[in-house]
Amino acid sequence: MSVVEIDKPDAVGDVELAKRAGAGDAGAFEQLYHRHFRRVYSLCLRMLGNPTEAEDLTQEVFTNLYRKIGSFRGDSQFTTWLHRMTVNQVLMHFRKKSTRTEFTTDEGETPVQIVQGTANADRMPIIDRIALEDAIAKLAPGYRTVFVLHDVEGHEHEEIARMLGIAEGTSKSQLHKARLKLRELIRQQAKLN
Amino acid sequence: MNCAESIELLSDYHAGELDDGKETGVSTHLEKCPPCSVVYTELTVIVETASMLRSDDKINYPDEYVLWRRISLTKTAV
Ligand SMILES: [Zn+2]
Repeated sequence: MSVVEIDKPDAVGDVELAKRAGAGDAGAFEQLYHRHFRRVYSLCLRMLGNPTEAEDLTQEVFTNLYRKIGSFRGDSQFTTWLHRMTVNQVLMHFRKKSTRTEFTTDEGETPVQIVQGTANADRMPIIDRIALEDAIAKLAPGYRTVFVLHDVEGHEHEEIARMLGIAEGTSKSQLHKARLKLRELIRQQAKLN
Repeated sequence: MNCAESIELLSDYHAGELDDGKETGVSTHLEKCPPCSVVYTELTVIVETASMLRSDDKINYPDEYVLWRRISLTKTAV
């Protein structure tokens, strides 16, 4: 096994590594992989909601990165560049699976219902990390993509709209519907438990 | 403002993106309508919990080295 130095404070920067990798330095590429593996995998996992697919997509992202690393010019941050590449790869995957999400419809889902019941029904379910992750995995891909990019990854609507090729208003309304749907899913889960 | 109207605006309300009239409309409605105010509280918790997932290291990661071997095989085949 090769010796890989990770996260040493005086380690070579990503841009320098990317340049070396682009010039054919295999060790530099491997170092980039170890540095960014977790970020790429976790983003794939959140967007896909499925560990096996996330693993396959992570492999595709780094294979694609290997092919394109020579075109990285260093005028943007490497992490930003890789992040965008990962998002695009996942979106392409959705299209291939033809689960391509219609961003303008409710995807045939049951409309979000607001429970207006008794005080008991309004008791708040536990919304923690685990409950939220379970619910995110159950969201339709279109809702999940916008929710993950905005509320988890912290992108602005303008940026999301550009990445997904949709209107900013669509991104906003999808996000709102995704949040309401998540709330509903978490309530359902809480009832089952 | 009724329940459906205020529910529709909750994300914009949360983001502080409503004009003054609508913002007052929503906050007045939330004050007098417990079910909608529960919805708003839960949405807020969802948004806050989601932002904590970003730096989350509690994911079960696959074996980094096994995956690297798979990548090495495909990239040389490219
Ligand atoms: Zn109401």
